[in-house]
Amino acid sequence: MANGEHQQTLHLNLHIKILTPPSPPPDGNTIANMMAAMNETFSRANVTVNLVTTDEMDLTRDEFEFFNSLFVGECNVAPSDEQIELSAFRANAAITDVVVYICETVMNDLGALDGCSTHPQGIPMAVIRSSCALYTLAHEIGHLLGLDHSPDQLTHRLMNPAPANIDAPAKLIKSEIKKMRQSGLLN
Amino acid sequence: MAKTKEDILKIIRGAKPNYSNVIDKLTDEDYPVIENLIDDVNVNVNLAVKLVTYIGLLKSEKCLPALEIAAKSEKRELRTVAAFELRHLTNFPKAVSLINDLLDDPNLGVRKFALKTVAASKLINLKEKVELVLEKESNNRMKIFSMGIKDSLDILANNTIMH
Repeated sequence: MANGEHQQTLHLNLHIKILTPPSPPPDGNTIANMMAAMNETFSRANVTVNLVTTDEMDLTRDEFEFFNSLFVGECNVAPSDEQIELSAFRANAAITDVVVYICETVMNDLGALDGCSTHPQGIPMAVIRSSCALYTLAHEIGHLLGLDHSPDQLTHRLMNPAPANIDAPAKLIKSEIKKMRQSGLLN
Repeated sequence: MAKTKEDILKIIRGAKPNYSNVIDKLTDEDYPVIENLIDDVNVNVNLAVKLVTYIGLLKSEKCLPALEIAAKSEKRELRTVAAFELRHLTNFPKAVSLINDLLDDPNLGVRKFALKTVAASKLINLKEKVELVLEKESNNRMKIFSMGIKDSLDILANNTIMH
């Protein structure tokens, strides 16, 4: 069954919470563009991401200012205290829905990141920077669906470790398709 | 020979999240070009913040001019990243002076990461400045955060006196 053809279409529900709106091109990309790029890539796996809600965060001004420059610790090990606190703001998202927060700055132990998908267990979430690349959203959701970075750094692969270096249209390989379709976040 | 702006941006665009694949691709000769790129209006913020991160990771005094440009940039994102990356260079007075200034930044994110640098680098000589920052901080979340940093500096200062 090559390229995911003739497979049942699986769906992922996504909620986007905005702390800082995505920067317009050339600094960043609109949510519509990022969604379109992601769904084009995921269509190869017969996976559709449904953007259920897009809203501004319901935070106090103090919370908003604090979380808008988010520290994610090591990112690939465990969520930081700030990520854990932020994960509580899911509004009406269901348990398997993914919530992506858009912050002005995402910083790990080394420095600035495009995004980070490390999350508290059972609370699927990611954070992305407002000036992120076109495929950052899809890349982080790829992580949430179980995908690791591609070791070859080929620029046509969605899981290239550097989202800014991914050329359109980004591709998934067969093993990635198989793995992501097994994710419990899809229905 | 120094690389062109385009060459440098291509290298930075391909940087892994831990920058391990680019850390030895740029040399001293490239620093002046990097300095020009950081606040270049034609370079998007996404790449500029990566340049600032990269330059910080080099941990070289030669990188201070580039970090100073970022620390004094009009772009909040660049000042935020500079505030954090300066932690690699706190053995140089210039870096400490820049952190001191960034603790007064109007943007909370910049102040937050400047405080993280104070804590990470155990900058006891900025203890009084942190106390002043805490006094005038209007954001309650930041007050709690600043209090934690101040307490850690107090402990460090007491231990230093005891030894």
